[in-house]
Amino acid sequence: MFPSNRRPILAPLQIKKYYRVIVDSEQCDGCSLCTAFCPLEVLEIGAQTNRRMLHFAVVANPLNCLGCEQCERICPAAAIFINEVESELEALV
Amino acid sequence: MKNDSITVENQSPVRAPVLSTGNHACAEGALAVGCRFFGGYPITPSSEVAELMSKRLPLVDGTFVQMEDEIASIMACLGASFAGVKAMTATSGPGLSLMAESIGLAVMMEVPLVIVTVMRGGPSTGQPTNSSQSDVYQVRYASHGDYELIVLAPGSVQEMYELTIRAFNLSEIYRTPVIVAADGTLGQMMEPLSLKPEVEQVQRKSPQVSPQDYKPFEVLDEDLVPAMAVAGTDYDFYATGLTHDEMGNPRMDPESAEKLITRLCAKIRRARTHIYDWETYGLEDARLVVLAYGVNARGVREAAERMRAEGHKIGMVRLKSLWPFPDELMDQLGHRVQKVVVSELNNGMLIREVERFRHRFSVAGITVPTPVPLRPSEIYHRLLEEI
Amino acid sequence: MLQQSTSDGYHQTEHPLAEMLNLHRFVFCSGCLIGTVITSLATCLKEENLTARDYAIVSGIGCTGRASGCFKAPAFHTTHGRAIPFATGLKLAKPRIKVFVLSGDGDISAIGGNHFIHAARRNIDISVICVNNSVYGMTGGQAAPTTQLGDITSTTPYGNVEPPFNLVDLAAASGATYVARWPGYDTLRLQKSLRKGMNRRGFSFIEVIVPCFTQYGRRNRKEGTIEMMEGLRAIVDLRVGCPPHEAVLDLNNGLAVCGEFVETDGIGFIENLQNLRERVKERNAGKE
Repeated sequence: MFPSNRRPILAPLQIKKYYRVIVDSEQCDGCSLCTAFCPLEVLEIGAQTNRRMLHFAVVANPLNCLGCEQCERICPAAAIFINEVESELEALV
Repeated sequence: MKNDSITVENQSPVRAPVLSTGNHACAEGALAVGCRFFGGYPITPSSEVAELMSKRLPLVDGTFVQMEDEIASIMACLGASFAGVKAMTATSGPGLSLMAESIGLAVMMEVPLVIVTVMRGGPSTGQPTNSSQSDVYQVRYASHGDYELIVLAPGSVQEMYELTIRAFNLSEIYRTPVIVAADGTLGQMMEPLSLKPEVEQVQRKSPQVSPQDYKPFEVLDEDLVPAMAVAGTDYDFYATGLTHDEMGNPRMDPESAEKLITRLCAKIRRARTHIYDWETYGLEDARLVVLAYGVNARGVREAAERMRAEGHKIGMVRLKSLWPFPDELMDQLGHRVQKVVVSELNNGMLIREVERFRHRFSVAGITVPTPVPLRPSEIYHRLLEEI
Repeated sequence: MLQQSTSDGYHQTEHPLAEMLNLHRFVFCSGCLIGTVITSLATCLKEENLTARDYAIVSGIGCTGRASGCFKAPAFHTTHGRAIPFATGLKLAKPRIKVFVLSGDGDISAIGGNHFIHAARRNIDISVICVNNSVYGMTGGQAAPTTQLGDITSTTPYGNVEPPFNLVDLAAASGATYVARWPGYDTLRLQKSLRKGMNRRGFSFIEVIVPCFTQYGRRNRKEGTIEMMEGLRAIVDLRVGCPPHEAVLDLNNGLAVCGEFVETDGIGFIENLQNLRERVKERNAGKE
């Protein structure tokens, strides 16, 4: 990344950010736009159905999420959003 | 819960009394009662209402806007009313036809609004510069669906002023559009006008609960009128033309429709005795009563006076409110009168309402389909035949 | 409410827009981007800290007509084509609030066409967001003035023979001072445009292309929401500084020019009227 004769004194801190993706399973109607827009296959339409008998999106690979928020922005039902969290563990909830 | 009202001193630059046309008197009345928005479109014979409003509204920080057509005019008035500003538009028969759908919307959304129609010859383009009374049913039934409407009928320039004031106050009390139906002649003729030194301005009911608890169409009082929140306050609400529940949610089930429509109609019907307005002459001993309204009532009055002078027991009622139709008045007449003659400048419209009571008295009509007023002598001779 | 709950207290458990939106009023087809337009607008409103006292949403009839009720604000579902004059009256009577019109292409350009061009001419300070799906969706897929030549709709079963409007050109020619067109999936650009439109004076017109797969797509391409969006993405041509009459929207021949087409500054109608009032009052005071 840096040319060999110029390095910073301290190596830059690389903090990995984690994101928790939350789906409101009742508000979701399974249109699958979020799964189509997600660049990293975080989401998929699950096997379970909600009270409206619709399959809803589930977070299949939460650790892939890099917080681009495409899913949150594109969802026409305001059924999905992401939170930045501190640790891997919290992303998995 | 009674509506708030404030009494405001006359702030018109016009020094009363003054010679004024009916149209100008109407505008004066609107300004006096607090109208601060006029959205209009020119149409003979009501354009002068708009013209005076365009001159005077900027002086009182009001808004005058000439919209692109009558539909835009009434819709702009609806929007202004929802922003908390008293609004009015003025038109004639063809324009009111265009406004029909929007009147229904005003009823459904329960919006205070005044529509002045200065009636001319119809149907269609008809005779723009001639007066008529052929819009009796149009003013009541212009829009589709089940609804009630308040329609006032001034008979003089002074009444154009006073009934416009009344129209605004009624619209605020009952959260409904109110139509002021004037003859074309009345809009254009000049008579002395006395401006009231003080005018009572009634305000619509405002919500007494917090925004979280507010339900836009919830009725808490016996008068069946919900409190009205306006835009620009902390209240959020949904006003739709679809049948809806108390929260404003569109509801397509029959029960919701029944509940809503019943209430909207009952809201006006329950108040009808407060809305009725008429003037009588010679009713004490009359066996025949003539029913008339507007400018035509003057010819009837002259004929009636002539006949009373000759000893005929004739009386007259001049209606100052056309709708809801005063069934109670017909009941009263039914007790002591043998015949009711209806005189109107149309092919027979209000007479149909009176004919509903022909089991109580016989009914006859002095009607003309042309937009030319009946001469008092013509009325006199026709009445002689009816005695 | 959400099915997933969190153990810790400080992370949000509710959608960030839940306080702005009535989620139970999202009645649109599954995957229809009208919902996305709504959430994009709500996001912009939230960022500007606007609450119920600061804005109002007016819509007409149709699928997009149901959008106004989705906002926790003064929301109006008026008659077909008449959202714009209603919004005009609302804004004139209460200039402090931001007024948005959210309506469909048929509502705005067919029955509402006259109101549309006059509002633009007056340069009334409202934002009109026109969701263009080239069809009357709610009523079953009839042709609209934006339906493309040759398209099958329920009232053009043999193919549409009327050329469509270029709404961008129409708005610009009528005098709108901010005109833009975006594809419905491009939420970032749409949001930026919405922010611009709401914060400037004068009439803003933002056309959003939203494919209708239920009525329009089914009869013409037999595809679903994702395929129609991919199809749209393939033909969108984002341009800067394109003049309005060159803003081609030809879905069949593969060109949808998007971007901002007009951005001029001019005195809005509100300011015009206020200047008039002041002038008149001064002159009147001088007379006395």
